Formats: sequence, structure tokens, C-alpha cells
Amino acid sequence: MTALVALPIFAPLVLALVALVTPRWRFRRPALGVAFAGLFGFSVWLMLHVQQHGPMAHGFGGWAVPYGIVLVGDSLATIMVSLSSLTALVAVLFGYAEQHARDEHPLRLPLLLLLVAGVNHSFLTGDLFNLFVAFEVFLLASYALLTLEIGDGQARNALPYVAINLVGSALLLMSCAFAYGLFGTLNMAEMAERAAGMVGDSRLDLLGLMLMLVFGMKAGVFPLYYWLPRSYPAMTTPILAFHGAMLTKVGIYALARLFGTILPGELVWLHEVLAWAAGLTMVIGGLGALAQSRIQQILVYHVVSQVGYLVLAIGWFSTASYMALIFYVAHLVMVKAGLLFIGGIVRKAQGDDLLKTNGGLQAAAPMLSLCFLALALSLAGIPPLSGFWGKFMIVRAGLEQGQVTLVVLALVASVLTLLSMLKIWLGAFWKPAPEGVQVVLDTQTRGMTAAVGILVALSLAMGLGANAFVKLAGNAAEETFSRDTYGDSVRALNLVPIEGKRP
Amino acid sequence: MSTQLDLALLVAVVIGVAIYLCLSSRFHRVLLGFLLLSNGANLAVLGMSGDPSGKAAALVADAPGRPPVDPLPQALILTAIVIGFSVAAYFTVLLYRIYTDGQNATLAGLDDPGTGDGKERAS
Repeated sequence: MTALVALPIFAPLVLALVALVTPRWRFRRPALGVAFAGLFGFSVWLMLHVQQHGPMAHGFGGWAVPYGIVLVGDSLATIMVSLSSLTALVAVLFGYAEQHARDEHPLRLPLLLLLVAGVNHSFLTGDLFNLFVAFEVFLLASYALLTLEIGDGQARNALPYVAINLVGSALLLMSCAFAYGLFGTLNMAEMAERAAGMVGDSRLDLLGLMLMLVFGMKAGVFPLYYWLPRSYPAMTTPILAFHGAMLTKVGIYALARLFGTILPGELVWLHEVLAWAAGLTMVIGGLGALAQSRIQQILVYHVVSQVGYLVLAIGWFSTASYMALIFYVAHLVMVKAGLLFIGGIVRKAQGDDLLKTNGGLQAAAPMLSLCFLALALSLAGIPPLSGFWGKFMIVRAGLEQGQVTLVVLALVASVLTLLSMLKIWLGAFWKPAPEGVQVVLDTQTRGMTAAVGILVALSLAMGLGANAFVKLAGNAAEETFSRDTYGDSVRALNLVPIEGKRP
Repeated sequence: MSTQLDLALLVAVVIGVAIYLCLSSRFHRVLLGFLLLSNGANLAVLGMSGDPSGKAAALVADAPGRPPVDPLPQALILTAIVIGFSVAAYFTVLLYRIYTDGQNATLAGLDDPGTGDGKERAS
């Protein structure tokens, strides 16, 4: 029964192989679409199950706990898995609408499935070295996706992404080594227990700093964000949306796990550093977005800016801020993916997403404009949309701790977000189309808009029915903060009698 | 835990050389730099087995009275080497692709503004 927690990893892996060997199969698209929908359904079921019955842990091969490899699906992890499955499902549907089956690159779906497997593995793993392996699995898939469908001369855009991740991987591997040297185990639950007894040891601070650096790099935190706006815009829309919405969030999840579960709460100076880096990230990302002239580039800078809010919530480090974090992640994944999809639709309808040559979409495509408006205002944090509740909770958590400067920075970044969303709205939608620029709307763009509609509906539901989602986030935050829940669920594996091998 | 100053110095030197190579502008040096970097990290993992002097090999049972070397870091390295190898293969191909795109095996000019969208093509 508990082995079911491995399904979000193994199902995409098996499907990736199936998709790889059946490039010309007539029912490939419907079959894989159903599979993605099934994966999403299963993830949501898993999330609800964990809400009711507590974390689901599984040890492979029946080894006793600090020795074997464990997967742990607690509330935080299963929420993230649901979000990644949702984004993957919508990205695939969007891709189906965007291209005919014969035009689609035969490797895109297998690689996307590998990416999903790696991302889900990094959410579910209960072992630091497995986190490294999961990172490598999804990074290799994402390197391949990044350069799969590029045109002439675009390969160099991938270079910053690959280079920084190679450095990040080496650092993460060394951090794993030092963690093993320090604790004698890489099992997260066991590490947490041993770390709690080492408060004040400077080696613990150094290890925390190294891991923070690595995960901050993956998340795109200032000053380690430079690669993100350079590399992301080169991707095709569905892949870009999945990357922009999910991959930085893997770094966020790892940071939340690192500080919430593994390291003891006494490392206050690390939290401070993280919070200030987050403040700078928000503002610099926002300013960067304002300076851009292409829709996708504005949105990609916003990925950086929004990562700031999330990291800020981790840095403030309280149950209230973690609750805000989890709610805000869910909001952000939907909204960000939706906006990046819309950028892709504009690119398709007008041939380019340079704001100077866009225009007239408000009259030509009212549904698309409505979708954009809902998502953009939600991102900027206008009540009663989901972004407002997220920002409200983050700001309240900050004010409870008297962090006035950072709260002001967060509000400034919010205004910057609103301004750059207005820039897109005025440039692409409100303004009449410049002369000689056509708005081409056909069944493809309508299908793409319908895919975005799923995200818009979910995001609106999150804003209007915020109560249920806040409750979910609150449960997950409390579970993360009461470290015993995570550790106990892992240690409970030792109590289950298993026939066969035991060390 | 016994000190392993020699291994620590070796890791420091390997990673120092790797960073030096990564920062140069020629592709083959950058590539070698990243290969060295991953090997430096692997060496650091190896160091976590502890000082091997006087210890028995991990999988040899006939060494009574001698504690075995911790085998887990070696299992970790094995995984890391495989991963490093695949990433190195990808990175080599990426650099080759950039080279054939621009007929230029240095990093010079890759960062020109306004050329990031692939619209222009310098011959």
C-alpha cells in the first residue's frame, strides 16, 4: 500500500519508455494525454489521502531505516507533486493544440515525462543523495528539452543554464559528502535528529550555507539568478511554461525542506541572509521585468521576482510564513504557467511577442484578454484573486515579526509587478494593432486558450474558495514544523515486520 | 576521525585548477574544467570513507580484528561518476553545437546584447 507513493515517479518513467518506442503510433497522443490526466488524478488522491491519514513513507527492499532508501509523501511533498502533475497535464494539452501530431518533435513527450519523473522524485525523496540524483535526472531531461527544438544560433542560450547547473551539481554532491561526514547518514529524518543535537557547531552552519547556496541557485535567488532570463526564453512555449512554473519551485521546495525538516530552527542568521537575498530578488526581478520589451522576457523576469516572495516566506521561518509559502506556491504555479502560455499564444497569433509589434488582441480575442487580465491581476495581488491572499499572508507573517523594511520591499515589488503587467496589457491587448500586423486566430489558438482556461478556472477557484486552500496549506505548514511527524513516519517503517532480508 | 590533510589538499588543488580552467574563454579548457570539477567533487565524497590506512577493504571478510572501510561513499561515487559522465557527454555536444553555429571555439561574442533571440546570424 505505501509503495503507491512511488507511483508518481515510476509511472512517468515507464510512460517515457513507451512514448520513446512508439513515435508513430496513431493513439500516442490520446493515450499519453489520458496518462497525464491519470497521473494528476492520482496525485490529488495521494494528497487528500495524506491529509487524512498522515505522511506515507515507504522503504525500499525492506532495509532498516537509516540504511535503506525511503520515499516520504508528506503534505508538502504531495501538494508539490499535484502541482507538477497539473502543470505537466496542461502543458501537454497546450502542446497538442499548438502543433499537429506530425509536426511535434518525437522526443518532446518522452523527455517531458522524464522531467516530470525527476521533479516528482525530488519532492518525494527522503534522502539527500537521492535528492541529488533526482536533480540530475530532471536536469538532464531539461538540458535536452532546452536544446531540442532550437533554431540556428540559439544553442548558446543554453550555455549559462548548463554551466550554472554543472557548478550547482558539483556543490550539491560535495554538500552530500560533508553531510555524510558530519551526520553519518543521508536519511533526512535521521539527519534532522542528529542535527538537533549539534546546535552551535559551526560545521552545521557551514553545511547549511552550502546547501542554501545550491538550492538558491536552482531557485534563481539573487545574486544567482542571471542564468534564468538568459536561457528560458529560447524554449518552446509548453516547455517554457513547465520550466518557469515548476523548476524554480523545486529549488524552493528543497529550501523549505532543508530549513523546515533537516536543519534545526536555531540557525537564525541563515534565515536572515535568506530573507534579505529574497528582498533584493523581488525588487531586481521586478525592475528587470519593467526594462524588457518582449512578453516572454517580462514574464521570465517575473519568475525571478516571485521566487523572492517565496524565499522571503522561508526566511521569515514561522508556521504562518510557511502557510503563506505553500499557498503562494500553489497560486504561483498556476498563474505563472498560464501567463507563459498566453505569451505563447500571442507569439503564435502575431508572429512575435515584441510589444512594439503587438496589439489589438483585446478586440480580436476577448476570451484570451479576459484570461490574461484575470491571471495578471492575480499575479499583482488584486483582491479577491488568489495572489492577494498569498501576498496578504506573507505580509502579515512579516509584520508579526516586525520586518518593516522587507515588507515595504515586498509591496514595492508588487507595484512593479502591476506596472509590468500593465505594460503587457497596454502593448499587446488594449492598443490597436499597428499597421500591417495581423491577428491570426484559428482553431489552434482557440484550443490553446481553452488549455489556459483550465488554469484560469483553478486560479479563480483558489481566490474565491481561499478558505479550503488556506486550510490545506496550514495543515502542511504545521506538519512541516512539527518535525516529529516527518521523522516518526519514517522511523515507523522499522516497526513493520517484513519477511526476508534485514541487515 | 583521523585527519586526511593530503586528500583535502588534493581536492583543493583539483577544484582550484578546475575553476581556473572554467574561467578561460576557450571551449576545450572550459570542458576540461567542468570534467575536473566533477572529479574534485567525487574525491571529496571519497574522503568521507575516512582514513583507509590499517582498515580492511569493505567487502573482504577475512580480516579479523580490522574494521572495514566505510563502503557507502564508494557507492555514492559510483552513482555520481555515471551521472557526471552523461552530463559531460551532453556538455561536449552542446559546446560543439555552439562551435558549429558560430565557427568560433571561444566564449568571445556569445554575450552580445540583442543577439540572444537567434534572429541575427553572423556569418
